Formats: sequence, structure tokens, C-alpha cells
Amino acid sequence: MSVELHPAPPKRPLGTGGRGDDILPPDSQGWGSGDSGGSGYHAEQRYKLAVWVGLAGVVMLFAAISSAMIVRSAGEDWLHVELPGVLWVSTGLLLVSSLVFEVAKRAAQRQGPRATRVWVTLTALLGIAFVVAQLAGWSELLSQGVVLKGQPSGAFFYLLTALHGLHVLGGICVLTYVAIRASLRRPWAHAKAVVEASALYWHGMGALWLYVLGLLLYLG
Amino acid sequence: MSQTVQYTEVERHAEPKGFVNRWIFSTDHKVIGIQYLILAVVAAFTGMALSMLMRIRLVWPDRSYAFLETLFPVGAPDGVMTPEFYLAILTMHGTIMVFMVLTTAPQGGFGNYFLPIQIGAPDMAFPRLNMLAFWLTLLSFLTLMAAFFVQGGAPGSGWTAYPPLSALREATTAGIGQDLWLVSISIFCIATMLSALNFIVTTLEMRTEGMALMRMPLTVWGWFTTAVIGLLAFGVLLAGGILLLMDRNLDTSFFIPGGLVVSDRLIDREGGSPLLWQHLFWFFGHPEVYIAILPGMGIISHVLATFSRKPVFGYRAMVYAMMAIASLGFVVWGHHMFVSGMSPYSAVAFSVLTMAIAVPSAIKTFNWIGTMWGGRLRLDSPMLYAIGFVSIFVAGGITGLFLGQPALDMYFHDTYFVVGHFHLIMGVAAVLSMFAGLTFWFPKMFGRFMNEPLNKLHFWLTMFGVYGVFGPMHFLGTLGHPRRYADITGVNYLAERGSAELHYFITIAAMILITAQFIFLANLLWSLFAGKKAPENNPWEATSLEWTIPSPPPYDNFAGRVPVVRRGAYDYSVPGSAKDFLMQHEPDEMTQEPATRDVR
Repeated sequence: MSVELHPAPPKRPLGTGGRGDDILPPDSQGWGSGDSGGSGYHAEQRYKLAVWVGLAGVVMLFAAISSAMIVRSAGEDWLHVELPGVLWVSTGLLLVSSLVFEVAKRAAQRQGPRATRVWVTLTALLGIAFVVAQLAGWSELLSQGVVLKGQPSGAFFYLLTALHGLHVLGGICVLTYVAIRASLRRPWAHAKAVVEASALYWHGMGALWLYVLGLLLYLG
Repeated sequence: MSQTVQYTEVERHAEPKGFVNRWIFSTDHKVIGIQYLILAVVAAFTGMALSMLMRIRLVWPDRSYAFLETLFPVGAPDGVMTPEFYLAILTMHGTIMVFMVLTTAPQGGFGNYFLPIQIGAPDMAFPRLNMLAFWLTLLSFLTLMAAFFVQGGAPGSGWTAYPPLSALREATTAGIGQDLWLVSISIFCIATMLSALNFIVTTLEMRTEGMALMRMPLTVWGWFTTAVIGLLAFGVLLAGGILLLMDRNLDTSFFIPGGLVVSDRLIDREGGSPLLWQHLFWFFGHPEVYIAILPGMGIISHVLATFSRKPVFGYRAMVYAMMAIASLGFVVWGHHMFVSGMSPYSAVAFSVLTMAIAVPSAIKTFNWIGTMWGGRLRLDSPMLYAIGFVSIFVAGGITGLFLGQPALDMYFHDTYFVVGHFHLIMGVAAVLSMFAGLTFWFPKMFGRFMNEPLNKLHFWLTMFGVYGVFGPMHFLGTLGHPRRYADITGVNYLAERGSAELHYFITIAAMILITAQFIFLANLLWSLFAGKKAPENNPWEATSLEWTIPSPPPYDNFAGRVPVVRRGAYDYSVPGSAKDFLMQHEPDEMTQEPATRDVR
């Protein structure tokens, strides 16, 4: 069998593939999706898909705990827990952080690393403030004598807020990475793709918090 | 269409330097695949050793073994295994086999190695995440094994870890070992979800030009579907694991009911529901069966087509059947709980849904037979294992129809019938698919063949062994023989009906089965260094992209030239073609004979 090599097209850079390299310029074509015959592929697309898929896994985790909470709330020992008022402050902080992140996203698209760094840092600070406010909520509940033992609604409160808080901390780590990256004189395309995808994640955490808050208000 | 093979030129990745970067902390999907396989082999032999100990305990309960006293002074004082130790090794056998072998090898091992190559990608979408997932899996395995060596030893609550037994520190078989078990499983959940994410994104985003979804090999469909199930199912087990850990260590009461007395002491908890754990566990547990078997189904379809020299019969039906199995798998968990006191209406619903899985399963079985029907069968060892898989899948699947009916399950539940059933359908079938995969891809992975006569000897001994071990268990089950008994003298009432003889037979068959696995291991190790060299890229005359590249594949798979895909993965015996297979990157015109010959 004779196999001829088709005249080689210009070399296409590969996607970054999580290797941390920066060979992907903003509009380059890399790996194809197959169906469309190698149509445009962006690192952004891959990261965004990864976030969507990851969020599906996170949703299953919280759905399972929610279902456990619904089952457990039918028990005779279930007592209603008055949610700490500071939770409304933390809710506000997280929602504002989402708005700020949108500004950061636009800065990444239109203005470049320096402006992005400012907005991303602000988002991260608001995220940290959210976590601190959540801890203040824990402190308030503990001072009211709500503990894990013998108070299943309290146990669910601590568990759900802790798990959500851990996910927010994960987001803050990514934001820190972007902020540092924006400070370095490194190619910007990769970090920009990370900003786009992590914005999706951050909004997902905001939506998840609204769900958790609703669940705690309704059942807790 | 161009008459030549087309390639897309891409930038090459430089190969990492140094042994540690290349072979230990590697981001290369092939190395990670091999790491998963090595882990699975170690785990499989550990699990087999434990199963042998169980069989020995059952038929020679009073016999003493010095090495056991050395290894497990508490579990086997004077070298004699205690009943509690039997429960511990039973638990660890199940856990190791389900998580560390059946979940890791078909997906993490073969999937990692071959999915990127089969779709024409240089690596997984997120190589570092891939590496992290493997190391977390290894950490999970080591944490699990550590349970043997802590105070109180390994847990004895079964691989299902039902509370309240598993939730109480006061229980003798659920000490620190149970905590390690839970931590291990939780780590495993995170690792598997990260890996699943990677598989999904890679399949959807990294396919080469022309590799449409419906052109993907069925192996890729198997890995992709499994990844979706894993992503959705392991999150639920993780939730259950966290809640159970809290019950054990933070005095919560999610699963511990009130009024519980252990060793004459009232347990100071109330309100929890042990059934809640069962729901969470089996919502994961049933899909887990498909996590173990779906990659195998893909491998078997692939191998059967290659060695029958025929396209897969009903390719699309096979894909849709996989999706149907995966979807239905999420709505049948209640059939594991028929005896839990659930409403009979719920039981009927779960039963009907369970029976519905027979439809896509039968489609797959008929299509496998249809693929072989009229083919020019090449009975090389991968093909033998694949046919063995179909045989076992049918045998194990049919017994599932009994267990899926609440009225029959009331009797069979917790008998050896269940043990025989799930070992065949979940364990043995999946393991046979791994043998098929390993013997099929060995020349690609290592550039050498495995020894064929030894493989065939292994195949026949294995088939005798598995039917010899798990077939009689169905008879034990119909006698009403309960499982999880450390001492069969406890069921003397069954002795006159032959249960003791059956147990002896099973133990002897198990010894033969395990001996056969050592033959395979020896063959594997010998072939790595001294096996017959594979003559060219494509010794099996197969069609998918891995056979277009050298054996073993270079670091970035396609060395910067990725083939453009022109056709589906199973173009065997295409009418008018000069040879009986067309590789996925080959255009029609290249291999067609002159028109005059077609006319004639």
C-alpha cells in the first residue's frame, strides 16, 4: 500500500492541555471536536466544558446531602435552627463578587493583564470576606448552643456551609493563580482562558449558595 | 475526497527527561495507564489471596497457619482465623476488588492508555489532573491497606459498610480500620471524579479531524459512558462517606437510630436512619456495576469485530444500548433493598425498571453474536477471552432476572445465589474483558506478543475455575445457604443436601483458578522481556488509530502528524476492497481494486 503524505498544512499549535504552557494564542485553532472536521478549538472551550462537568459532580454531591437532609428532617428529633443574620451579609458579598468577576472577565477580554489583576483580586477579597462571614455565622450558632450532637439540623448546617466554603476556597486559589499570572510577564492567552472558565465556576458557586441557603431556610 | 491519507501537522511535545519525570510523576497518559494497571494487578492478587483465605477458613476452619499468626496476630491467634477476621478479609476482598481492580483497570488503565490514541489526541485534556487522579487512587489504596495494621484491624462490615455496624466505634469489627476504610473510599471518590472529568472533556474536545462521535470505536464509547456514570455516582458515595465519618467521629446521628444497645450499653444517639445509608450507597452501588462492565463491553465489541473480520453488528444500537444501560442504572438501586421493608409498590417499580435493563443487555448480547455470525473467526487468545466474556455475561445476566423479582429475592437475598450472580456478571466478566484487552493491546503497548499457548491454557483453566467456583454457589443459594457465615457448621441442616461437598468443590476450583492467574502473571512478565516481537504496527490487522503508530507508541503518540479520520472504526470485509480491513484514516480509493475487477 502506498501512502502519500498530503501536503502539510501550516503547523497548528496544540491546546495547552493543562501542561501549563502558553503556546495557544487567543484565536488559534488547535485540536478539533471531530464532528465539524476540526473546527475552531479554544482552550477556553475546554476549560469551560471542564467546569460544567465538574459542576455536575458537585451538584450530585449536594443533591445527595440534600436528600439525606430531607429524609432526616422527618425525624422526631429535628429542631428548627434560626439562621444567623450574618448569612445575609455573606450572601450579599458573594453576589457582589459575581458581578465584580464579570467586570474582571470583560477586563481580561478588552484591557489586558493589569486591569484584570485588579478586578480578580477584588473578587478574591470578596470571596475571602464571604468565607469569614460564614465563619462568623458558625460562631453565632455555636454561641447559641447549636452543636453537631443531637441537633441534626445544625449538623446539616455546618456540613453544607463547610462543603460550600471549601469549594469557594478552591475558587479563591484559582483567582490567586490568575492574579499572580497577571503580574508576571508571561503570555496572557492561557490565563485569559482560565479567567473565562473560573468565572463560570464562581457563578456556579453563587447559585449553589443560593440553593443551600434556600434549603437551610426551608428545612433547617 | 482525496485519494491519499491526510495528516494534520501539530506541534510536538518534548519528552520529559529523567526517570522520575518519565516513569513516576509522569503526565503521559500511557504511563499513567500502565501505573493504573500495575496498581490493579497488585490489588487483584491481594484480593485473590484474601479470597483464598476465606475459602480455606470455610472448609478447614480449625487449621492453623504460622504465617497468619505472624501477619495477623489478632485476627489469627495461633494461626487460626477468627470469625471476626473472616468478616474483615471478606470486607477487604470486596472493597479491593470492586474499587481498586474493577474500577481502576478497565477505565484508568486501558482507558487512559488508549482513549487519547483512539480519538487521535496527543494526550488527555488535562494531563496534570490525570496524574493527580492516579496518585490519589494510590493513596486511597495505601490507606485502605493500612486498615489491616491498625488497632482492631480491618473493618468487618462488608464492602457495603451498612450502619449501624459501620457507624459505631463500639462495634468490635468497626474500629479505626473502618475510619481508614471511609477515608480511603472518600479519596477514591474524588480521584475517580477528577478522572471522569478528564475522560469526558477529552472525548468531547480532543478528537482529531473527522472523528465524529459515531465514528468512535466502541471502546471509546464505553470509557466515555463510564466516565459520565462515575462523575454522577461517586459524588453520592462521597456524600454518604462524609456523613458516615461524621457519625463515627463527630457524634452526629445521620444513620444511627435511637435505642440501640451494644454490649449491654445503650448508645447515646437517636433519630438516624440506617436505611438512608442504603439508599445513598446503592444509588452509587448499582451504577458501579456498570462502571466495572461498560468499558469491558466496549473492549469486547472491539475485539470481536477485529477477530471476526466483520463490522460490529448494529454499531448505533450498541451505542444507544450503552446509554440506556447507563441511564437505567441510576433508577434501579432499590432492587438491592427489597428486603428492607420498602413499600411493595416501590418494589414493583424497581423490579420493572430492573427488568428493563435486560433489553439493552440483550441487544448487546445478540449483536455480539451477530458480529461473530458468518465471520471468519480468528481464535487467537483475545478472541477466546471475548467469547468467554459473552458466555459469562449471559450466565451472570440470567441469574440477575431471578434476583430482580421481589418475590424471588426475598428467598435468595443474602444467600450464595447472590454471591454467584454478582461475581459472574460484575467480577469475572469484567476481568475477562481485561484479559481480552491486555492480550489484544500487549503488542501495541510493549512491542511484543504474549505467549499464545500459555494464554490459551490460562483461558481454559480460568473458564473451568470460574464456572467451578461460582456455578455451585447458585445451588448453595437455592438451598438457602446464607452468605457471610464464617463457619459452615452453622448451616449443618443443609449438609445432608450436599452443601459441605459443594463448599469443598468450590475451594478446590478456586485453587485451580488462582493457580491459573499465576500462569498469566508469569506469562505477562516473561513476555515483557522475551516475548515474540510484534512484526509491524498492526499485527492484528485492526482498524482503529492506535494501530497506525509504532509499538510502543512514541511520547506524544502521533509524533506531530495526526491522521485525519475518514470512516468508522469497524470497516472489515468491505465489498470491493482489496484487503479485508480499512483503517480509519484510509480513504476508499486507496484500497479498492480496479473497477474492472468489481464489474467482473
